[in-house]
Amino acid sequence: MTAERLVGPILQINEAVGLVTAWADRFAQDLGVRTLVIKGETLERQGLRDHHASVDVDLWVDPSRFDEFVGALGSMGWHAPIGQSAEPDPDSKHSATVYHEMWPITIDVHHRFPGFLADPQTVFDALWERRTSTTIAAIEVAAPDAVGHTAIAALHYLRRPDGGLAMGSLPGLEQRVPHVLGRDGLAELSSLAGRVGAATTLADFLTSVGAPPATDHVDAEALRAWEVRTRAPLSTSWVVSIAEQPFWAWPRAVWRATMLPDADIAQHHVLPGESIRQARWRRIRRGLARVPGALGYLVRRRLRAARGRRNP
Amino acid sequence: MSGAWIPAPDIARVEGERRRALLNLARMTQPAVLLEGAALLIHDMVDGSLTTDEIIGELRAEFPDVPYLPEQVRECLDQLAAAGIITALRTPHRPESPAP
Repeated sequence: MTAERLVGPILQINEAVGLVTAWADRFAQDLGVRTLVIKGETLERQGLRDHHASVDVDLWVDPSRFDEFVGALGSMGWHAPIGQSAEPDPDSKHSATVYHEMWPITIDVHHRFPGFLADPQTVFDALWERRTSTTIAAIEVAAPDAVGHTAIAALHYLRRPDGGLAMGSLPGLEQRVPHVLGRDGLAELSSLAGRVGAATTLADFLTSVGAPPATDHVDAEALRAWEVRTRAPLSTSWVVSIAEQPFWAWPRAVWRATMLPDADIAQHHVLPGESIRQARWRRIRRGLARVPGALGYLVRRRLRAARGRRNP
Repeated sequence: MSGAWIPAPDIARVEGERRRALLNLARMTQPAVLLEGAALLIHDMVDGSLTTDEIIGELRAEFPDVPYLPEQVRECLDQLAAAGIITALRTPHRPESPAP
C-alpha cells in the first residue's frame, strides 16, 4: 500500500504529456518567459480536432527569450537528442526538440512556426495578445485562442500537404472552423492572418472556410521558400535541400531522406489503416516518381539564379 | 499526526483507469508519483476532513482482513506527505451540521 515514485518509462504517454505540459508552463512562468502551449489537447477542447493521442508537448516561446529558455530547460535535464531528425527538412530550425531521461516524451520548443512569414516577434506577440487559458492535468496553462489556434493548425497541416497528417486532418479542420469561429471569428482569422504574414500561405484555407480575403506584405524570398516546401512536391524540397549540401554529404542525406525513422513515418506519413512499413514504401514510390520533376525544378531554379546574377 | 490531511496545491494530475499520475509543481526537480490500488483509495480519502486514524478506521471497515493495514496506511500517507502531494491540517475541515 505505497505510493510509487516513478521514472519516465513506467508512465503512460498520455500521463507524461499532461504532466510535462503543466510542468513546462509553470517552469516558463517561474522564469517570466511568455509561453503558449500549442496543439495537443487544447485543439480538441476548442472543437478544432477529433481526439488525437499526442506524443509530445509543443510550446511556443517568446522568441526574444528562446535561447534562455532552452538553456534553462537544459539545466533541468531536458536536452536535445543526438541526431535529432533524419529528415533533411530545410525548415527544421523553427524549434528545438528536447528530451529528459526520466520522461518518455519530448518537448518541442518553437521560436517561430512555419507559414507565419512576418517577423517572429510580431507573430508571437499577436498570438499572445489573443491567448486564452485552458486546463491541462488540472493546471491552468496559457494557449492560443481558437482563432490563433486555427491558423497554427492549418499551417501545421499545410506544411506537408501530401502527408498523412494533412490528408487525414485538414478536411476535418475546414469543416469545423466555420462552426467553431462563426462569422466574427472568421473575420478575426483573416485579420490575424494579415497581421502575422499568413494571408498568402493561408489563402486557400481562408477561402475554403468562408473567411474574408486577407492581404499581407511578406518577404518574397520567405514566401517562395514556403511554396517550395508546400506546393511543390515534397521531393522537390528534399532535392533542393540535398543539392545545397556539399557533394560528399549527398549519400548520407539521400539515405536519411529516404529511410525516415519509424517514429517520423508514424507521425507524419501513415494513412488510416496503413502500417508503418506500407507507409514507408508508398512514400518511397511516390518520391521516386517525383524525382525527375524535382530535378527539373532544381535546374530551372539554378538557371533563374544565374540569370539574376548576370542581370542584377 | 492527529490532524487531518488535505491535497497540496500546485499538483498536476492525470487520471487514468484505476491509476492517477501526480507531479508536484512546487518541486520542479521531483519525479512524478503514480498511485494505484490502495494508494489511490487512500489519496481519494484525503479531503481535509479525515485524520490518519479516521482513514484507517474507514479502510478497516471496508477491508477487515488486510494485515498490517494501519502501518501500511501510515506509510503511504507519510510518503505522500514527503513528496508534498498532501499536507497536514491542524484542524480537520468538518462539514457543518444543519441547524436543528
